[in-house]
Amino acid sequence: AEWKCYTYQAAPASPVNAGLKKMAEKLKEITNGEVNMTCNVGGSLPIDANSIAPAISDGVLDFGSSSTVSGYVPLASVGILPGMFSSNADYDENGWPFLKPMIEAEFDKRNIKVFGVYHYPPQVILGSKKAPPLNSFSDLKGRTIRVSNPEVAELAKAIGAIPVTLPTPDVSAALQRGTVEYVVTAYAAGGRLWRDFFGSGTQDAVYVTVSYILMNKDRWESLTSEQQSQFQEFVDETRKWIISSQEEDNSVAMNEFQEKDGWVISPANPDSLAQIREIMSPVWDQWAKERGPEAEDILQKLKAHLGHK
Amino acid sequence: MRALNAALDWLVLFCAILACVAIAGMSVLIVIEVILRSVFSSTLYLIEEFSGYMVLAIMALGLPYCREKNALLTVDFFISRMGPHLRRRVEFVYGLVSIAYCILIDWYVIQLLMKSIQRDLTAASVMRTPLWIPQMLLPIGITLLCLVMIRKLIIPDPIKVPDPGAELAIREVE
Amino acid sequence: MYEIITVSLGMIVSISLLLAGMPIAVSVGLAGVLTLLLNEGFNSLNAVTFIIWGSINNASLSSLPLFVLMAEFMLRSGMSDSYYAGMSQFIRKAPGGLLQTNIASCALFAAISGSSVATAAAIGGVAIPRQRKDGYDLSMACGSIAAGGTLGILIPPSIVMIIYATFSELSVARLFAAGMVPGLLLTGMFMAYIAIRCMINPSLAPKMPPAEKGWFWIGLKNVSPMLGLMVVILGAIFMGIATPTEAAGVGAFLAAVIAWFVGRPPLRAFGQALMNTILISSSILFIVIGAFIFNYAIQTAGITQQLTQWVISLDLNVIAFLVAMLLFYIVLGCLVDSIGMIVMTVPLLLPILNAYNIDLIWFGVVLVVAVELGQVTPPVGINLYVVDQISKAGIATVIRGVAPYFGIIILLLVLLTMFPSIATWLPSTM
Ligand code: NA
Ligand code: NA
Repeated sequence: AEWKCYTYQAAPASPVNAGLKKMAEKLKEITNGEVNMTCNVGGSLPIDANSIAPAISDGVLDFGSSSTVSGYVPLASVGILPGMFSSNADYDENGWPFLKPMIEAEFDKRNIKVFGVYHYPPQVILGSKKAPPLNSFSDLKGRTIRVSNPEVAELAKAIGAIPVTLPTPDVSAALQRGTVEYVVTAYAAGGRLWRDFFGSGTQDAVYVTVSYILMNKDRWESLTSEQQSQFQEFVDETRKWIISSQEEDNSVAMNEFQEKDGWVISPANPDSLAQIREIMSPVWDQWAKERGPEAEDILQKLKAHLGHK
Repeated sequence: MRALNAALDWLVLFCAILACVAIAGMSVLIVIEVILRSVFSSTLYLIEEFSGYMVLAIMALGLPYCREKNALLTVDFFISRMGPHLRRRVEFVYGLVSIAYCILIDWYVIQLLMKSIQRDLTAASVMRTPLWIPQMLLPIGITLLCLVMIRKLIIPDPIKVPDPGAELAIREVE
Repeated sequence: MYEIITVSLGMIVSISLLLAGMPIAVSVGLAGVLTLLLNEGFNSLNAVTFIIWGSINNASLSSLPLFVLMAEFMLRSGMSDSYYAGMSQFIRKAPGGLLQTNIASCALFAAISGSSVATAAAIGGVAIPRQRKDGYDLSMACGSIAAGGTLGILIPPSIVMIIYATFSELSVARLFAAGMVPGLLLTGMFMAYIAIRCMINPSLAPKMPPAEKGWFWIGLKNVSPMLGLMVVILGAIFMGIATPTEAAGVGAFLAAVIAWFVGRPPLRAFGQALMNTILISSSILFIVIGAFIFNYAIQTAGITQQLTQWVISLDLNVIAFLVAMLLFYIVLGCLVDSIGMIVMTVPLLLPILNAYNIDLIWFGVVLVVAVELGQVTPPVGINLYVVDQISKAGIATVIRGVAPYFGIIILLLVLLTMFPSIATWLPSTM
């Protein structure tokens, strides 16, 4: 069978695309060449990032990874609320075991099998050459910041910053000309792309990104149970490899920008997480309220589990 | 029949006017956004998202009017040299094929809409717009386009004298 | 092999239907549907739902209708008439007359717009109707706009370069800088071509009126509303007040305001401007959907993978490899729109480029120039259709006018290969 794999990540050399390719090879191996999966890098198919999960549900795509599922599986975004988790490791240790049953059930209702999650390197705040380096989140007050998801927009609003949503093609001009001063992104992602427009960056994660590795459920059920367990095991290994390779790549990028380009990288601020949590607490409640009783329930349970107020 | 005809005309025009409102409105919204951001340090949160919907609205709502006015782009330097009799027959066949294509497109945009309603999809944006709202424009526009095409098949336009530009093209090619 | 046959079949169907007079959007879209059906069967058409939504719900496309609207306002208020009247005072002695201003205006507009289609629509919308009336050779006028529009993706900002940067993980700023010198060079080459053509055959451009008394000030007064508008928009981007995508909306709004005060057109004219914008934009956007269905069919057929692997297997030297790539891009550019050309090939090519030790920034510029070629070749050449739609000149006239520019763009590619520093010098100073 010919399968299609798709993701949002464009760079073919990135660990995400390399990892998905490994999974395709493994799938071919364990099915004795029966399943031939073609991997398409982000942007190479005219399917937008938000439609990846629906397309997997319909069987238009067979396999892939998606991080923007908040419009399709609203409850899943509880994990990316700013301040909820302190780091990727925190999410993996305390978040995923707790959230897994809920997220699996939500995707299962939508005819999708979830294999697990991987994370992007920390989403930090990078500042344009003209913008002053940030020492704490409160320095953002009155400043323009480009955000790409509603949860972070809420954080920016709560701080008193001006969140701006911009299409990716506009970000370079906006940074260069001062239309926006800060961008929420990772060193290895937006940092590389808009490298010459930035002059500073922070080290504290604003939120933990979560990307889901997904397969159409009918395809999953077409595999024998032995193939299933072999593949699940391989995906588990590979997703860990994706996380660690990305983190490594990220620190290489950060050091390079600091040493070669002279960016001012603010030291990690141990208070920043507490700061975000305090600001976000009412926003979390608002988030849940807008999404109904199920969301309120999961938020309460998650907060209790993590010991947040 | 005459009433149906008039109703179709009215709907086509109404959709085109809606498309005009969409583009004019978008232009005004962008100006408001620019002023809000640079003077009042504030933002509307919707420009990027709505710009996409505007493109969709212009295409979907403009197409029936576009077909009605014979403004769908064609390459007509062969067909414009045919005799009226042959040309009418050829155009009838094109009409049928185009209708088939548009019905196919219509079927899939209806699927798009139905699934978004069933899945309760919203935009992953600050506005969290339910996607069925912009997506609804697609079946409306494409269905009207099909109807206009069917009407053109039944009541074809009189074959007009090629416009001066087309004439020039023919002369220079020869 | 089977896929190469089906894609070729799709291409033949598309070109035949198109030449036979079928709407272009239908010809291209049907070719995509047919290719998908033959390759993957009926169920694969379910992808059409996602393709339509993914291709048309796109903020980057919004500059096309908004810039068309801006041009319509300038045209219907008489602003463009007075602009060209003023311009013809300034360039009385230039061979080619207003045709030269087409290229210069496109180059200026390219600094505002990141898209070649929007550039062609904005400048062509005001230039062609006027020049047709003045007795300029129609195919020269159309050709200069269709080709001039392609400067929109070479002179920064450029959407195509940004997409290339996301695949190659290069700095957008350096890519933009790399496009600057080649963009200006190409502008100069286009203008030189017009000058030479018009010196050989002066009938292509009408004789300019003699200088009036005080021509300089009259000319300045005439050009100022439209030139002023362009300068204001450019200024808004440079001062960080508006982003390039917003510039289109601001431009349309300001054009309406200036039109109201300067031209005092009847209210009706505003309605006509809007309606005409809808006619032009919706027919182009319908082609875009067809083009994306065809893109998807070609991409999932894996034919670009097969062709790239074949090229690699030839084990060519660098120059032969580049020539092979150019031929490949010329063919691909016929079938696939600008963004498609990048997304289908760059992910596959990157490792090979590294193996050949080819500078990725330099290659990005070469690629953008190759995409420019694709913008003006049928059956999928959106610039041609925009100019046809604006001028009503007939596609044959547009193609005939643009054909010589094809040679000029190839000449630029040759120059870039012989003297890579045309592209690499400016970014190396950063
Ligand atoms: Na440009
Ligand atoms: Na082309």
